[in-house]
Amino acid sequence: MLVVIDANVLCSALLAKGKTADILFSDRITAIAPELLLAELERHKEELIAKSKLSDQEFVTALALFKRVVTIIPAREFAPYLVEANKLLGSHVKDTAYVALALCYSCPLWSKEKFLRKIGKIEVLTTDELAHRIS
Amino acid sequence: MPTITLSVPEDLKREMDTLKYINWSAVAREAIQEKVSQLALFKSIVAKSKLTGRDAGHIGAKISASLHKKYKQKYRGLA
Repeated sequence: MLVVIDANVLCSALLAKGKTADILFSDRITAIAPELLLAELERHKEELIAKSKLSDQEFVTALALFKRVVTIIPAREFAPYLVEANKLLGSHVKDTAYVALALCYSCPLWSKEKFLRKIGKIEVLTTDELAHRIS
Repeated sequence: MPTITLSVPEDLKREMDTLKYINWSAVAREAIQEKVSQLALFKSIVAKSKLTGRDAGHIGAKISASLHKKYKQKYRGLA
């Protein structure tokens, strides 16, 4: 099952408990993300390390494993959908790239962001809903 | 050693049958081992994580905001 993953879900995979990592590393989904997402995650490395108390090496290893299970989609592929996504989101424009990617691939978006469920044009799944869908 | 059964699509099975000198059992075993190792390594790392759900939400929102800023700079017409 193809699914777009957002930054919140990626960060949640770094929680000691929960099923986000199990789903992310399962073969039942193919996680895709917009270009630059992993680069931006890396740019916030200091804060993630400070809060998680993981070592620099542990964080680098976790990021390398993310790169093996998350397929990065070049922006030029979903660029034609960016303006539409941006308009659908109103004041929640920070999620534009994820929604554009979901529109482009006609696939669900894996996100905890409650507002996204209201936009209607894409399917938004929480971690529990996705776990149920692939079980 | 225990035995498992794998399902593959018909066309893949036909292609596999043309490659007679490949030990498909070993190929499958290695792929499964790699997957198990990846998840085990990841879980051994995050087991030590002190990150909370609230932290993940907060940092995730910041990452999404900076990601959008990059897209806004590159593509015209975005709010």
